[in-house]
Amino acid sequence: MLETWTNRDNAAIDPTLHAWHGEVAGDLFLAAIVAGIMVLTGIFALREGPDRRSRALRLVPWLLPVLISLCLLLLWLDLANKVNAFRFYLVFRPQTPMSWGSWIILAVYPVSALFALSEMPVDLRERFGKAFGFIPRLAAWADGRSRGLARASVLLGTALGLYTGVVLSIYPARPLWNSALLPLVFLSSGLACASACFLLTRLSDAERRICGRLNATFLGAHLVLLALWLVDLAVGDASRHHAVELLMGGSYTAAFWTLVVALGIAVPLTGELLIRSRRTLPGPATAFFILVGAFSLRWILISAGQHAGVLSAMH
Amino acid sequence: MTELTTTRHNHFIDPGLHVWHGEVAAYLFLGGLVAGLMMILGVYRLWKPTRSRSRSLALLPWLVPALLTLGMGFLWLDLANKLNAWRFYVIWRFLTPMSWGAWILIAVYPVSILFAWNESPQILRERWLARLPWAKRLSGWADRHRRGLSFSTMNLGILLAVYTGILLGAFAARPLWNSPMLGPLFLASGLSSGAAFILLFRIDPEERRLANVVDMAVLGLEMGIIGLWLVGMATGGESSRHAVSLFFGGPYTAAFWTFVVALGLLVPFIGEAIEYKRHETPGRAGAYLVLLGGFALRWIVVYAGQHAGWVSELASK
Repeated sequence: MLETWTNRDNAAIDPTLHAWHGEVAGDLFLAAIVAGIMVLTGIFALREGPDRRSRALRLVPWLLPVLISLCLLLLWLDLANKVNAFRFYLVFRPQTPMSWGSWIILAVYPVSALFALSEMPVDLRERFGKAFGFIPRLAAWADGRSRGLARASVLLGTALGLYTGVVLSIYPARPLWNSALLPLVFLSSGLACASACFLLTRLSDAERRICGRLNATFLGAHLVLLALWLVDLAVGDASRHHAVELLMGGSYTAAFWTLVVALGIAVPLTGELLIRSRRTLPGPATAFFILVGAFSLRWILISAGQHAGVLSAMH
Repeated sequence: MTELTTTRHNHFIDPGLHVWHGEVAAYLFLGGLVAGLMMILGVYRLWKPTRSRSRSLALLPWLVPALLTLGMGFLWLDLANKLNAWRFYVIWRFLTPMSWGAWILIAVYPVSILFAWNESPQILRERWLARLPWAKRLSGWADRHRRGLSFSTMNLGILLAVYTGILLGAFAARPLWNSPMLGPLFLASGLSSGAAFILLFRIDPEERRLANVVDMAVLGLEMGIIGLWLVGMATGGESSRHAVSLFFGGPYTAAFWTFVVALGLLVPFIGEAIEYKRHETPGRAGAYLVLLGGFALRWIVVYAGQHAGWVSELASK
């Protein structure tokens, strides 16, 4: 027999905590896309020479600094004390995931910009070189380190993808988030998002087929990881049971199963498998669904995670 | 302020639960090894359907049912009521991981035997068929379903490896086990054990290099998963933090960091990376260490998991 008494009542914490809003979901979604693009473009660059990749694929890394800036902007908008944001960069706390995240995001800028420069087609380099004199020199430096930059891109992308999950999973008071599997769920979702983004650009036919195959693989892994996550919650303690009930009959059930599982995973996965069996080229439709699903996953997790708590389950 | 009062005292459960012994650890290791072999051999057949294989690699799939039988033997030895083992196979409980496992183990037999038959050298198959004429129809069927059997072998391997992790992960009362990372961890460990086991045989230098690359990649992945598993517990509730402290200063610290992390992961990873970089044919030393690490991981997880509990650390304060 286990008995619990509580007289906890802290403003803005008990019985519920709703401090994170849509901006955080947007930030996590964009960070996942950036992470996925960094990993996949890095691997593509390590596997094949630049002359064997389409122009579109070589220009994709320029999206990275843009998307990460947008991601940072959303984070900044979510802050209560916006002026204090610079303080993240005055210290590094190794035991604080948010500190890791802020430095990882900062490191994305130079690595992604130099990697994008090393990937940039020659004609564009010349054109921009005329306007900005430092570009040819910087590009020559990056060219000499293109493999190192590609490796750094893969590592940094993996760290960023995992961090977005770790930052949520470290809250023991939020049982829906407090799962060690969340970083892998977010990384697999980020990789699927990145290959979906590639499909929205003008890739060569061979690259489209590769991206279609990658999509199917990542979505399959994502589905398995999501299932393991739900099983973990279902076989956990009372507060975890309560948390998973939000997605299994509770207030987030319809949104989760419709937007994340059906539209975001099952439909594009079936589409990719059909495309493969009929030997046709993957189009942007499946990519669109994947992106909708990935954004919904973050939105639902942020809201539902704050809805479920240790105390509410006990009551 | 949260107050917790307990009057729990259940024989064999509180304050300690030690009902699983070394046999379970041995079964989990052999199950992971079998799963890893099934995944690697299945994927290799799907990836390179027409490439010829060395005799050792072609005969290796026969070890899958043999090792599984040994593993199930250990499992049976661990049972308190051994005569009741058959009861697993008169029912299937959808919500019970052990029931899933029992049926997965049974499904491995026909699939792995037919896959092994397909993989065996042609000359051996003809010799066997001359002695067993009744098997001709089955052989023809297996030959027509080569791709399907390879695919099933791979998928059953994944299920078997993940199930061994879920089996432990489903215990809410054991915070060291109650982590979703155990499924992926045992999957990665099974894959690395499988690749290492393949390296113990007389396979071609090219096959050795491939097994080496697979082992190296999976060892890297395993280190990342172990990191996430430890971080997950360290950032969990009080009982999870107590559980992880068994590896950070507690009684399992030396064994875990020496056998699993240093000898089982880091040393073979570095060795294999050096071999890969120098384009050398990988030897067996790294493989022995990987297998040692895989076994040590299961042994330590099984024992440490029963050492950590909810009540012991909360009620004893």
